[in-house]
Amino acid sequence: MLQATQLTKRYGGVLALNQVDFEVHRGEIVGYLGPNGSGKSTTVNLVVGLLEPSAGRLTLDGIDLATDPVEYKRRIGYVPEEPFLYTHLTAGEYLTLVGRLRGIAPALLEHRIAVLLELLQLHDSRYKTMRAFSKGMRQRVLLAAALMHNPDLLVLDEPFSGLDVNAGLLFRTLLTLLAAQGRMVLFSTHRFDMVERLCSRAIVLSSGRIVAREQLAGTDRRAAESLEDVFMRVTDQPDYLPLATRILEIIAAV
Amino acid sequence: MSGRANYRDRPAYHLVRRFVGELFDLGFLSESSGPGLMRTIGGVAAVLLALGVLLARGFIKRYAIANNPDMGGALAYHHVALADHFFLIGVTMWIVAFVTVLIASSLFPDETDFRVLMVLPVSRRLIFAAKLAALGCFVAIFVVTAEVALFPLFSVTIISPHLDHFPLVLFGAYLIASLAGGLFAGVAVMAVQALLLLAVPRRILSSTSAAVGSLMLFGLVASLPLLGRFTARGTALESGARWLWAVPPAWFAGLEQRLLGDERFTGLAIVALSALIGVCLVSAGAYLILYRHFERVMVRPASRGPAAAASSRAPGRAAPLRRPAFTAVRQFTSMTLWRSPLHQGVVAAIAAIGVALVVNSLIDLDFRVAWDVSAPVWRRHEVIHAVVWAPFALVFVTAFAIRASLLVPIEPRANWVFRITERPAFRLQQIDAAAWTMRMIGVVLPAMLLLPLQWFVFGPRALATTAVAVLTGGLIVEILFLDWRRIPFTCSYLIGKGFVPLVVLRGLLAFFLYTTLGSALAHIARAAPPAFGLVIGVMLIGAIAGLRRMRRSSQEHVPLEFEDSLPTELSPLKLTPD
Repeated sequence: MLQATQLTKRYGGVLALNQVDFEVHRGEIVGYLGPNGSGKSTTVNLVVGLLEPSAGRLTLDGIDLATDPVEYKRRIGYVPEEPFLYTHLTAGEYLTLVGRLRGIAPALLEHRIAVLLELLQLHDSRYKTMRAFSKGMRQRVLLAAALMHNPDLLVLDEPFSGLDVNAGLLFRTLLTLLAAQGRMVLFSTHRFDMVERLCSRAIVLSSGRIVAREQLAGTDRRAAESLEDVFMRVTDQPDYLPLATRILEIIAAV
Repeated sequence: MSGRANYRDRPAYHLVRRFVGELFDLGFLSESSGPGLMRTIGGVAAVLLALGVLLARGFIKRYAIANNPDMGGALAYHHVALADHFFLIGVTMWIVAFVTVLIASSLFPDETDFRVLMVLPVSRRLIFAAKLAALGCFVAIFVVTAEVALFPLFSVTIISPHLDHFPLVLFGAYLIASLAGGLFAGVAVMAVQALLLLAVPRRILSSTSAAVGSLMLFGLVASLPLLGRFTARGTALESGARWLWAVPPAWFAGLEQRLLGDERFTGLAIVALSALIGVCLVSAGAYLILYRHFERVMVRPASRGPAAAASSRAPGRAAPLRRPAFTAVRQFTSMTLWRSPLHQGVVAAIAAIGVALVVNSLIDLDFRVAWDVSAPVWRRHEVIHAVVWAPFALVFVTAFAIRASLLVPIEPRANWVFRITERPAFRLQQIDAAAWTMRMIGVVLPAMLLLPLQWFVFGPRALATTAVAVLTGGLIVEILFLDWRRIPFTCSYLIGKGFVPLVVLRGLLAFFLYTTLGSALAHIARAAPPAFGLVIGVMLIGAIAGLRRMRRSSQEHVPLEFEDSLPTELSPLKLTPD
């Protein structure tokens, strides 16, 4: 379980996050909602260890970020909002860099990268530097980098911005499957439809404080057919479940 | 007033202004705003003007001697003036070539122009014309600045009782020759880029263009000492030495003399004009071809073939890597240095200073003297000293160049991937990878480059001098890394943190100390019995090991830096007694 206790962040004299408490249980997808400037990205940066809290505590399965940051971060996968990557590298080179920093054995790493590039439809562009990649392609590279070490907690900051329809559908299926496998997913977004569709719980943030917590019924609960459902039906989209399952098998293989 | 307003309303005005602004934005810590542009222009012009005034003082003394009737009279004056005009034309050409190389990647409309501008209601002709006009403005700014900066020097060269022509005629000929030289220098760089753009496959165009740009920058900086020697080459010009045909400033110095009626320089003048026309034709041709096939600029950067990619992939290994973070950072560093024009430019420009120093110390030497027992002792010592000193100078400057390059960030906001995976166990590996890069490229490579020359002069004893250069270089690396807390290219960089004169003074002192002590040790290792050389080697290895241990024990417990910060220590002004 991810547990945030009295999480506070000040930038100089500005209080960006004020005594926030929340938790993400295994098997849950928690949506973190809020308007611009509400403290969503600050929370995400604190949870993944990019920022240090001014006060408060973060634990993951009992491991405290302050006392054992290495073990804590080892269990986290992170997809940032903007696809900040070293674009002078190819996708394979970038994933190799991340994999080595994560300490994955070379043979396993090579296999995972090859399969992930194939599954995420980046195989044809594997020898191109990422300068030539669209935002959607870069997001897919970041997703591969976040999943490669088979994390317990996946943290995503606006994961659906800039994704094409197919990648969006794959992301969604993957998140659902990850949760079904008992992993934790926390994603920050401003898209209510995605939270409603995917999440088991929603946390609403405003001016650095949690102003609402909503227990949602479960995934894919909407009775009325959404535009996305119509799109999938009329464009004869493939079923993304086998593809997402295969990705999770690859990252779990030892 | 309305005419001015109308002029500013035209798309052409905005396009030219935009393109000129882009040319001054070198992509590194620059401001793209209008005031930033004007500050850049003003700063560069001020530096050039100050240099011109400083050099003029030296010229005044030189001409006081040359114009003295007891020192040779008219003949001596003409000899000196000819050499100095050769130098002045060379400086103009060097300045123009240097700034054009800096903007080499922006000489032609690129993919961004294609994507952004072609969808707007502006014609392709307008885009090309605006780009060409912007280039013209850019080159003109530096040509005019160079001419203005060098005018005091030129004026000194024509204050003489021995003039053959009216001063205005002399000025006219000089102006035409130096303008033609400057134009040639700028357009020649453009022609090289044009040929690359048209001839190199798009797959490797980006990396090839970066490498050629770095090479040109390196060549220009390394040629500076040769440029300084032009002032002593009057005899060569008058006698029509053969090497002048390979030196472009000599062509335009010849053009100046031909314009003044000296027929001895007809050949050089013809070469100057032919070269100028040639590079103009190549560049104009390239512009025309690109105008018709604009899609040619749709570069896909550094896309590589499967074979190349396969060769760089790590071999399959079942066992975990012994030092995974070391391997990751070492490969990241190598790939960045190989692919980033900015980082290559930093290395090339600084390392070229070392090459220039070495070339300057070796250029007039006859190396055969070193083993000619009949040669005077002082000449033999001169050669031996210069050859022993060379690797130390080159190693010091190249190591500094690599260090400077490792400090310059690339995509700073992408460093989150290092921050999120940082762990104490990896910290030393990551810093060791940076030190490894500096040791290999900054120390071993330059020392090996000079090994053939050392072997030519000293024979097998060259191994001893090169080994001392490598080991003392290793010592420098460990010293420079004592307070290093960064993964290469991942930390933001604040320029001008230190007090610049103090930094320069410390650098110069370190250079003199290192080259003096290093070459003294190398002399001993070369001349003494091999056992003594071994003792020196063991001592140096011991010192490296001790420093390395000290460095690693301090780095292990301190987190890495990802944000540069200003020094925190306060220096009290002590305005009051207490």
